[in-house]
Amino acid sequence: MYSLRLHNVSKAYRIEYRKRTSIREVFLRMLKGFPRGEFFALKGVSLALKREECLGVIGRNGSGKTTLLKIICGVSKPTSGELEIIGRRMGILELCAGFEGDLTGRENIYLNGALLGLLSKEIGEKIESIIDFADIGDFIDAPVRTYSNGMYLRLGFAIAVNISADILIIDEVFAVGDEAFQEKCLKKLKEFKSQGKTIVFVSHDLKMIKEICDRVIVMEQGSIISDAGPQEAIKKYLSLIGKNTEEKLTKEIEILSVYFYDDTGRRANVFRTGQEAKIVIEYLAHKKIENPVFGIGIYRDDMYLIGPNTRDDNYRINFIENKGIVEYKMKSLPLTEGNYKLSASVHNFDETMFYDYCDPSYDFTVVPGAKKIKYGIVAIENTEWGSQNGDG
Amino acid sequence: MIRKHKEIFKWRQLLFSLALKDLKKKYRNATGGVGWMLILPFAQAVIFSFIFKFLFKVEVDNYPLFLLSGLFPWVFLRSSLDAAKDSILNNANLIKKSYFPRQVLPISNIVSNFINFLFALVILLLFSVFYAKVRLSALWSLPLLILIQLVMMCGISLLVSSLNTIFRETEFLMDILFLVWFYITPIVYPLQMLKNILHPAILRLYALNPMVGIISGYQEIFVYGNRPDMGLLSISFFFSLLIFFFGWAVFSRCEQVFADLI
Repeated sequence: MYSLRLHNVSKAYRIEYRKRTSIREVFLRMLKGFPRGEFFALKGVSLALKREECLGVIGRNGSGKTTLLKIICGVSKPTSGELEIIGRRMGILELCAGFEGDLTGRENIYLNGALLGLLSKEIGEKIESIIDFADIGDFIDAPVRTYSNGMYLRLGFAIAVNISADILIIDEVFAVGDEAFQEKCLKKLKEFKSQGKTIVFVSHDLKMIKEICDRVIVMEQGSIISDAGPQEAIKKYLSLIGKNTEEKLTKEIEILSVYFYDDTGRRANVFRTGQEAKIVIEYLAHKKIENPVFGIGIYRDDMYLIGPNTRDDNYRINFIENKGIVEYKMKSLPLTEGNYKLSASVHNFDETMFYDYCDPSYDFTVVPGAKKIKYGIVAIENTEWGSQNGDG
Repeated sequence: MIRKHKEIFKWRQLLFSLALKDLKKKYRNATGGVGWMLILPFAQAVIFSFIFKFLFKVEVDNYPLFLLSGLFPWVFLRSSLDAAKDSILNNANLIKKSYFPRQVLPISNIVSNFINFLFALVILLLFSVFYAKVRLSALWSLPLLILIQLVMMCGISLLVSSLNTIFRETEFLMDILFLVWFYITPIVYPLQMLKNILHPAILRLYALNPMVGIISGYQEIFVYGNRPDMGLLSISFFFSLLIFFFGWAVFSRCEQVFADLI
């Protein structure tokens, strides 16, 4: 029993569309003929999903993951090929896309429910369970613009999982929210699988993919290059991103996970410029290792921004054994607004042996802080302008 | 197309939720609420009565009431279409991130403005009871009039919202067209006046403007207590349908590229 079928679906974007928003442009193009600049975001993708299946989608940036989701959602139409959907799909790509800042949480539930195709009566029946699941207390009757990032996403997720869609489409949501809430979400998703629903899940969090997906596809340049169980697909993905990490690394120390904490000591992945941020690396040393060096790298759009490590900062770790953590605290986050990625590594003192390495796949976002910085990537602390004029 | 209509019916909740959101956003933080919406036609009525009654000596009984019965429907049209033209651009986020029939967006602007218009109609009715004669027999044709206006507005809103998304010039052209349209519609002057001075052939051409039948219909009902001219109204109805189907067709064609354009 299939719930979702894509047959040879392609999506092409005409490159000139970007400029076609004036009458003059359109007439000029009609006279000159349309240039043939076409870009295929998806190339002949075929996919059939059964009910009770949870599909993970992984791939590099620009590999066509989002386009695939958009087609499944119905947000954009395939250029060629067919899409067949049996049952009701959740037609929303980003959980909080429909939120209206000035309306209260409760009003937004109704608005978002309507956006998902529900009638007011149907939403009314579910509203209690949505509010229960979101668990944001009295804030439900406050305008959502007053919400914290976590509350915002909790409400979004609560709406998504409580409407009775047969096909759920989830694009990276677990990143925000404390561990208890993440647990709750995971439990809910597993419950869905047992109810015979289909889940399409896009994430960079390979651990999460491993945990809930029973089938994983790897996208590359608009095609599916691997369609297999999670273990195998993840292996394929890792080799694809060129690191071949698992072969060269000794794995005597494993990096289990990387977390971000904000100045209140809570897990977060959205920070303000200048806010205190702490990066915590959780590791497992399979045997006693002397003088290990832990390092992190921060990237933005494939640009390597900073790469501090414990050795260069004169922080000596004599030896490690079993589980533990290493933390790196930035009293004032020196980055401007944007999306960043973090990598982590651990090697021996003179870098002749690499124990473990994680690709830049841990995302965090920086939003403007107290001081508005419009240009550039770096925000330097303790700076001062001066000036002299004429003879001074 | 029928299938698409059925689909929109399925999404009626969204239509109302969006309209409600519009109203809430607009009036929640404003004391006076809907009252603000009615002030504009009132102010226009005052200014026009002054100009045409005292400066140009237009001979119309109950001129302020006459003006209001044309200005309220006109402002309804104008503010709905103004909002509709930006509806696709302003909701770029929704369009890129979620699936629903896009027609809902421009049409929801009509729904929210229609609620304002209902208030205006009540006021108009009260004035009419006090200052003129209202006949129940004439009032029966009011829903028909409103329906024709709504059909026409749906068509235009679909047209301008899609065109404005693709050609940003639409916005400026609309301002000019509205200005012309206002004066080729009998709002500040009575239709009767034109009948006396225009050649019949030109008059027939003039009546092709669907707003002629609609606005003069409102005036007949509220000022003179007569039924609208059914001949004029059938022309309006015919053209409203034509505009509707044309707007629908243009929108359906443009809709394919919205998500890629905005």
